[in-house]
Amino acid sequence: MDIRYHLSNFRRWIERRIYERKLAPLEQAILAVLLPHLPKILVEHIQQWVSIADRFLRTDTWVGMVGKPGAHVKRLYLNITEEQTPFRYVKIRFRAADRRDYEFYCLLSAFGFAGFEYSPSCPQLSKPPLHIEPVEVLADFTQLLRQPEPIPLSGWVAEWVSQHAIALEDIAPPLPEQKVKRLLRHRRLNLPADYLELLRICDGFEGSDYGVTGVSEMWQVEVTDTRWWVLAERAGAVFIVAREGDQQPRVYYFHHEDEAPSAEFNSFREALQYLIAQPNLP
Amino acid sequence: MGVDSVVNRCSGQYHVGQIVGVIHATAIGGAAGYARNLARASLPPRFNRLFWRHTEYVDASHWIPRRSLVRMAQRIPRLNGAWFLKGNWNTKHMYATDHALIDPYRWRFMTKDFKVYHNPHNPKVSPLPVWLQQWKRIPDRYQWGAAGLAYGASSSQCR
Repeated sequence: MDIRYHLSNFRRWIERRIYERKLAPLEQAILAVLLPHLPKILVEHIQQWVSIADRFLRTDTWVGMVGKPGAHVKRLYLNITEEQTPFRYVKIRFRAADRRDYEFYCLLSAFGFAGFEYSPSCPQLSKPPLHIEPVEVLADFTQLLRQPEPIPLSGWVAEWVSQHAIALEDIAPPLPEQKVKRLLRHRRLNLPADYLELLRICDGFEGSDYGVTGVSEMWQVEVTDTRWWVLAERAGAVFIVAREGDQQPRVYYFHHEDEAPSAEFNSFREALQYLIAQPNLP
Repeated sequence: MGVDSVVNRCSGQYHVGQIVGVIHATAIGGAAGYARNLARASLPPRFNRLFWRHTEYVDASHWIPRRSLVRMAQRIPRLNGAWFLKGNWNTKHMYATDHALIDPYRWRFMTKDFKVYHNPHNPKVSPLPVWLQQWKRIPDRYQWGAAGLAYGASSSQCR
């Protein structure tokens, strides 16, 4: 085995540890060049993000952040779908201290800033770059920016939102019907009529300690060789899921500690009511 | 205090004093652990890109899995109550990231982004050893109570 390879890996591990609580000198230098080229609203958003960061998550190519408990950054609503995420908004080429060329991207998601990306993996965090090329903006920010508009609610969703005092910003706008159909067909989901009605009105919302995921945000989990899609969750403990390839339009109530769902519903609204009525979680 | 010469360390009362001291230390440790758990339970959500809508909440992690307790309660009906199955005696509050890294059942329900970041090939976040996972699952009150017990017991053995 090549000892230099292991030493290099070890050095990178140590560097990641050192810069877990702060931005690395490389990133500080690049941001100093990058920020003057960004729209003011995005600069403020990124600066807020960096100031509330408690920890920087680092993989070989990606840098994300975990905020301090309770610290708040106002969301920046953008026209970016889950499929486009992470969205590369700005690219900068630079020459690092090891005299190799790298690319640095600023990533965005539907809720604003989503971290940085290196391509290829850059190991030179501790030293500022030797040379930085001009900033390359990859998308028109004015097209991306979205003001949360009042979503016309109707049916049981309107009742639910008024009963549970859900903020307007926490309701995602609906996706085009064709796209919803395509995604559901692709995921082989057979869902109750009231959940499909919800998708026509909005694409999910957040309640007090629970959330309903729309078709763009639902995620897949695998439990005992069965694929499920999470439609709602509460306190990270209990979930409403749909089974992939199910013949009947139904949803299930799943406690994360169980091997299988403990209840089954033909109506999403009933399942949601059941979810939030569970006393004394977990 | 200069009274050691007149203390009878073989007397029954002296031993009772030792035992009471150990119990006090254990109880204070346990209470401190209980308070710590309560403080953790009230921690607000935090931003985390790896979670749905970038928001990570505090979870309640079971020390003894709930499914084991349910099985036990099926055999012993007297145990089939909310306190036994869901009570604080068996839970420890922690952020969902910490919970998922020590509980494979919680891990299953994490988002794709989370699983990609916390994959076993990422050296920074390689899986925790089993003994450490188990240690992190134990509720604070028992850990701190045990620390109090160790302190009390070692103090009573000093002389």
